[in-house]
Amino acid sequence: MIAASVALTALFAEAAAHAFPGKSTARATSRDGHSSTRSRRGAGSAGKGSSDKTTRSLRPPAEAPQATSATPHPAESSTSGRAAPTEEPAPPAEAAPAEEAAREPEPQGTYESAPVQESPPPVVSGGS
Amino acid sequence: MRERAMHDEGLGRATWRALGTQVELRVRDRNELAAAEAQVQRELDAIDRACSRFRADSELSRLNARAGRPVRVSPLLAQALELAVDAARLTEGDVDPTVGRALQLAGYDRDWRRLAAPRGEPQPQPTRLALQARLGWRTIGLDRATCTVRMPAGVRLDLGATAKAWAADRAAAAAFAASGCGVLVSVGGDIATSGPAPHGGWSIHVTDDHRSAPSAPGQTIAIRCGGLATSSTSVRRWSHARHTMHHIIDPRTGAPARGRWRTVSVAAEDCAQANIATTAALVRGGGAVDWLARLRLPARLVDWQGRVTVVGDWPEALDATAQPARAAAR
Repeated sequence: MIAASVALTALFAEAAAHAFPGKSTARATSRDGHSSTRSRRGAGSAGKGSSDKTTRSLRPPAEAPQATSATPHPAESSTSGRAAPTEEPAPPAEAAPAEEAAREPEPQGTYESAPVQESPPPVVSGGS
Repeated sequence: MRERAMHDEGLGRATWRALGTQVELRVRDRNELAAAEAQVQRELDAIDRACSRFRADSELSRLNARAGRPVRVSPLLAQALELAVDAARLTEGDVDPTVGRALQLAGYDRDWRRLAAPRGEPQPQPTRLALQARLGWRTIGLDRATCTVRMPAGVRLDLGATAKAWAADRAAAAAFAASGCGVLVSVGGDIATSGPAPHGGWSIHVTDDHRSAPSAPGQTIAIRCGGLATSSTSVRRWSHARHTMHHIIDPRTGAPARGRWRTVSVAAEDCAQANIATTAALVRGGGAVDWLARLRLPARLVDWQGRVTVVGDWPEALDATAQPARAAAR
């Protein structure tokens, strides 16, 4: 039954893809993710600058990230040698979503005081 | 609660919540903080109204409700959909906006903070999830000239893998245009920059959870341009039908991805590209390293044992005793 369903689904997808000739944005892609098609911008864009572009390939930044002098967290451990992987501890058990909701109230539209500080902490990039 | 801070190098900083997550704005000139902040808020509000799956009044909700019929959408949502389809094409379907139905069936039908607490590790899901998810991104028809969208009945779109990062890109560009100074915008840890960076670059700490303190296990790096995103299957987890779920769906199974990596960070030309790559890497699992290397995307991958692998030009930690494995570019 599963095989039959998959086959029917594939058939349906193929039919749908042909239902709108010239309209679908689906394009074949090469193995490395670079498109062989030319860029095509639509009218009526609401964006600005580079964010207005559509993504036709995945490209590295103009400048690679740099190491900083920040000391790695003491909880990180590693084995010696370049090829040995750094090890990070497992993430702590995640709080229940309901607990987080209680901990992080929605914005109130007010500002805390704005003290001048020496230097800002790094911005944290993590899963969300 | 909004917070603002001024720093002695002239930097200004503001934080608040939007799009269901934490937003952080940094500007090189603190005198321009208010102008930049107004632009960021405007862009995020616009994306929320167009692309949220959790707002009944959003354009995306209306589009999903009318699947099976042609629907005219705003230029903004049309552009968001084009990006989502681009993401699917560029990742050979690893990032697929048609997983909305699978996410619903997995219980992710409301703001994540209102879901039940997770229990243990993710489990394989019933076959029905896979079958629902197989309609796939190729069934989306988008006419950019008329902003008309067609998709089969039953398809539910979710733009979570692209819209938040794209919002960061748009917000950063708008804030730079308005302020004239270098800006950084983080939307739930998806980071976009625009304009000149501060001396030494923007300092970023990559870790499992964007809600962590900068001292959490991870690595601190600096970027001067482009975007950086981190995706993790160790966060945004919930319990549904006695199974632990998370939000990264493998479109081929319709179930939460169960790949080799728990957290992936990527730097790219912009934040949307970075987040497409991190999401795809989590879905690809073991094949992600070669794929990222071929694309020459600097990346840092952490597996479930906590072992770190870096790809391309991702910097190694300066601590000589803590060198990660480095994958060679192919």
